[in-house]
Amino acid sequence: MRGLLLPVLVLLIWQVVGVLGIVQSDAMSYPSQIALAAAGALSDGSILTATRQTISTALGGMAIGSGIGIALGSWFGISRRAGRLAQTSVEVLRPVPSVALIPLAMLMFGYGYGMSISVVAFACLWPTLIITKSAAQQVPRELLEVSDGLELNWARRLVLIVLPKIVPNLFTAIRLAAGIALIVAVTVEITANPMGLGYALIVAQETLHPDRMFAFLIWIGTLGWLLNAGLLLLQRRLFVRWDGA
Amino acid sequence: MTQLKRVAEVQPVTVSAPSILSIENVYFSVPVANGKLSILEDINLEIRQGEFLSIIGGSGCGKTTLLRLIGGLNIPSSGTITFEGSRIERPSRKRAVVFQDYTKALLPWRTVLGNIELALDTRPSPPDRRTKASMVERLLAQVGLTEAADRFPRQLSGGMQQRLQIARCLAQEPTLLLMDEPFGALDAMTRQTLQDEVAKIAKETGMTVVFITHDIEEAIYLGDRVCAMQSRPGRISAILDIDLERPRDQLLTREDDAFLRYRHELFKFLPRAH
Repeated sequence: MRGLLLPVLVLLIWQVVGVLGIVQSDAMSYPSQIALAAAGALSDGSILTATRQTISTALGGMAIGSGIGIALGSWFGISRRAGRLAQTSVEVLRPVPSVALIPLAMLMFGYGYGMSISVVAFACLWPTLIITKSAAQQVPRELLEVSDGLELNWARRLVLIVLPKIVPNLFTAIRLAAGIALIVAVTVEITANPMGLGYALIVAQETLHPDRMFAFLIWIGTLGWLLNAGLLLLQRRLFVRWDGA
Repeated sequence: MTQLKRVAEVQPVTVSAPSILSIENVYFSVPVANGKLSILEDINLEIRQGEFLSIIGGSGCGKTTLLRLIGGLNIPSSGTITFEGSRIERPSRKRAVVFQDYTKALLPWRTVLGNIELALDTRPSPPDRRTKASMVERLLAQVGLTEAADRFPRQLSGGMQQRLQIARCLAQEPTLLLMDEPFGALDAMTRQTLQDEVAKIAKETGMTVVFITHDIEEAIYLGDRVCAMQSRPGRISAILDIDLERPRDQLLTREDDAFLRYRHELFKFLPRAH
């Protein structure tokens, strides 16, 4: 409970400063106004629509990007030759800032989900690929030799040995990708795509509604926190037996 | 030259059982910075159907490498290894390997049951559910893990984990069981128990066993034959027939005069540790 002391104090001071009009600025708003704006956005349904759009973009992009990342990563990790062949391409493509692909994505898909999802997927692909690859490379030699001794083909080796062994790493990768996905989804909406929470932020800013802007901002932060907390909880629930593995 | 003569001396004149695996003129080397490092040289060895062959040598003598060649996990640089009539080119379900480091060879996310089922489910023609259940039950009983069926490997002692690995290898239904210093990491008491259990399993199944160890007494106690190796490069320095009554006994066998003579004899063929 003591942890709440500071935030509550800050909110109080913020409220007092706002109500007394000590700071004059177009960006200025204060907690009670923000709460009202949030209630307004909630009652007219705009925050829900925007949230649905942003979450769909983030999750869709994350699913596609980390799916490809995990598939390629485990392939490059298991097969030394594939890993070496792909090394250069990965090192060249990976540093490209995902948001730099927005113009290209816009040309390809126009406005809408296709464009945002493709950019989010690109951003999620690399961290999952690299984490998966390095985890797959660290599967103990003995386990791979057990799989050779059982004459498993590559698909069975992947499903029965490698993937279960690296599941905890995959989950960490997905958690990382989830954070990135939300950031990139909002960024694309702010810069290019007229939908979702990012666009709502921009509209609030351009129509000089700092209260509404703050409401959306706080909501986006909360969403990010919820997403991570939810995944952490799931990880703890699901992977008890992997401890010490 | 004298050592080669000794090999000839101790090798039996008559072959008692048909050969299951034969190693001919095998050399194995690995690339290093300045050329090649020779690990094994001039290895010639017949492994007989149903025998328990102990291979003994100091660290770095290439005994594990020899086992890996037999397993098909490595391929000789030259020479051939034939198993049941065909040349070994890759690992096979028929030659199960029990690794020394059981912590790395077991699937930590599967229970004892699950680890054994891995070997059953991946058979070319997997058994149906009821057959599988009875197979698992028999294997668990064979290695004394019936009570621990639902536990995870990390919840087991070292000896139990090694038992589990042995059970999984047996589930492969191999004709040749390859054991790489399987009891090296276990305490002396557990070790003796497991030695007797392995000897019993070998007798029950009629399986051929190749057992790597660096412990002379363990080699003699378990083996029908003991193959001694010398180091750098690894070569076979002697092969000794062990004519001790079975079942063997941890106390009586080890006090037997013949046992002590074998120990004495083998000692000469093993290099001093540095």
